[in-house]
Amino acid sequence: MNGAPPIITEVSRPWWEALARCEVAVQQCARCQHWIFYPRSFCPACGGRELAWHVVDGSATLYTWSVARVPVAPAFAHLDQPVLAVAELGIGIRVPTSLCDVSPEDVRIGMALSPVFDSDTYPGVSLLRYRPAQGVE
Amino acid sequence: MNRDPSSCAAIVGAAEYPARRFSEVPTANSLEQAADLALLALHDAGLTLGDVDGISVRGIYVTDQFLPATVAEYLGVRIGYGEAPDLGGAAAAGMAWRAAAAIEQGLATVVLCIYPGNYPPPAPAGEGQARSFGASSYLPGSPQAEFEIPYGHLGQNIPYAFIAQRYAHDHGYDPQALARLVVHQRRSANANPHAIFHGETLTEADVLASRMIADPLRMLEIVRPVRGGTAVVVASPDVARRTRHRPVLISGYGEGIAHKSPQFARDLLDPPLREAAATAFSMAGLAPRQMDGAQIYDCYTIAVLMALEAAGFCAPGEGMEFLRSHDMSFAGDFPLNTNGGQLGFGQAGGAGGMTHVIEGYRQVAGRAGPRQIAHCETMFVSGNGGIMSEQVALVLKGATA
Repeated sequence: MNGAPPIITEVSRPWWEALARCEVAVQQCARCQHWIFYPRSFCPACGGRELAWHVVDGSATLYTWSVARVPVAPAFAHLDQPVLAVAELGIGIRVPTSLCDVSPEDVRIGMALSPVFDSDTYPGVSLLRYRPAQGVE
Repeated sequence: MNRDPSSCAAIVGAAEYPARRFSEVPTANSLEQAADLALLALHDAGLTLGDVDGISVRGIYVTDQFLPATVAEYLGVRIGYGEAPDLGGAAAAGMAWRAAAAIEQGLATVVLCIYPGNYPPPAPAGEGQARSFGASSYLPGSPQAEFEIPYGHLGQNIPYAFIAQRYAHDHGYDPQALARLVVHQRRSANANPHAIFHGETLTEADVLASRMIADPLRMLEIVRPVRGGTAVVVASPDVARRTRHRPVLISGYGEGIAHKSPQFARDLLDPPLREAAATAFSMAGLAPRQMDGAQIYDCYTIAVLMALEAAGFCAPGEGMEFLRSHDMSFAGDFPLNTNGGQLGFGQAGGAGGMTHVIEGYRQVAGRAGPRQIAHCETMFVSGNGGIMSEQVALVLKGATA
């Protein structure tokens, strides 16, 4: 099989369920309001154990990126020079992702990104990918 | 805290196999190799197995647990201190300071730090093998398996490129300055017959023309895996006095762990070497400007640049200018990675980190041969594991007779 689908846990399941609805949901600490990613069973900012999932704006800016000119592993060799990235959401969390609809020459750190809910890569699960915001029709 | 030199443990001997291409030598039994390296290092120090009462070891692939016990039993020694630090590329430097600390606390007097230079065998057959992709953690419950691997965030090239891109955005980027670093290290490698690239000269143009691997990292800015193997002997002040060569004190040490994956680092450009080096310099009562040279973990050029800034050799954002304005070969004004570094010597798995410790030792002991730094009394050594995730700093100082 190409690639590797995520191994979902009980704690992280709401993240993936939201993506399947084309939404981004993130944990927030009820005590200190810290936004938490990746999903955890407690708040790493204050140690609080009361967390709630909230749907947030999935728009992001580009924090950093690169291009895999050489396949990162045989299972990912089907991707043609993918633009791999870290996106920063408005609430401050950063997510590992990959960009679509952009060529490396046009990638700029800080550029505005719109979420792409990619249900094609793996059966039954949606990835949170991004494309340049100005590319949205 | 300025420590009394007479209380510091010291490196008193070392062993290092020449770097070899994979095609030149077959995979060795890592346990047999550990024993061979241990005996070579003890012989180098003028000590024997009977002196050994501590073992720190990684790179043993006949088992994934009980490493110190397995090696102690194989060597036939009974020890008061055993360890296998889990710090990736920083483990070797981590072994050195842990050995020193154990000795200073009275747990041991002679610690063998052994790192055979093999690569781990493939994951066991089955799902694990199908999913491992060379990832550091790919099992269920691992954040890396869930949030990085599915997108193709794998290996070391991409995450180091993430750091380089962010550096470029915040401070600017000078590919030629980084190429200059590679060339200067290659010059030192050419004075080291054991380096994989000995005899192969290189220009900045060659580096800049090498294949783009992960923008902006080019092939010649990335280490070449080789076969090798390393060991050092760390001894108490009393034992050090009766060894064969000039003891090199582990005068200061520090360690820092900031994250596992840089994707989740709070600040990609603030590696934990900052705190580790500050602790090490403070303990030694020395400052970066008082170092006669530096052996800095160089899996990638960007890792060296970041380490120079984090350790305080220059201010954050000034690393490129530092590389442009110094001669970094063994004969230069800032001798850096004087055995060629891993970029010039080759990276024998985790033993690559020990290469820096051993070169630091050799320079201060006055045993570096044709690449000897003139008047070398002090040396900074860094270890770097993961993606600038776990880092160790050592400050070495020559013993006074």
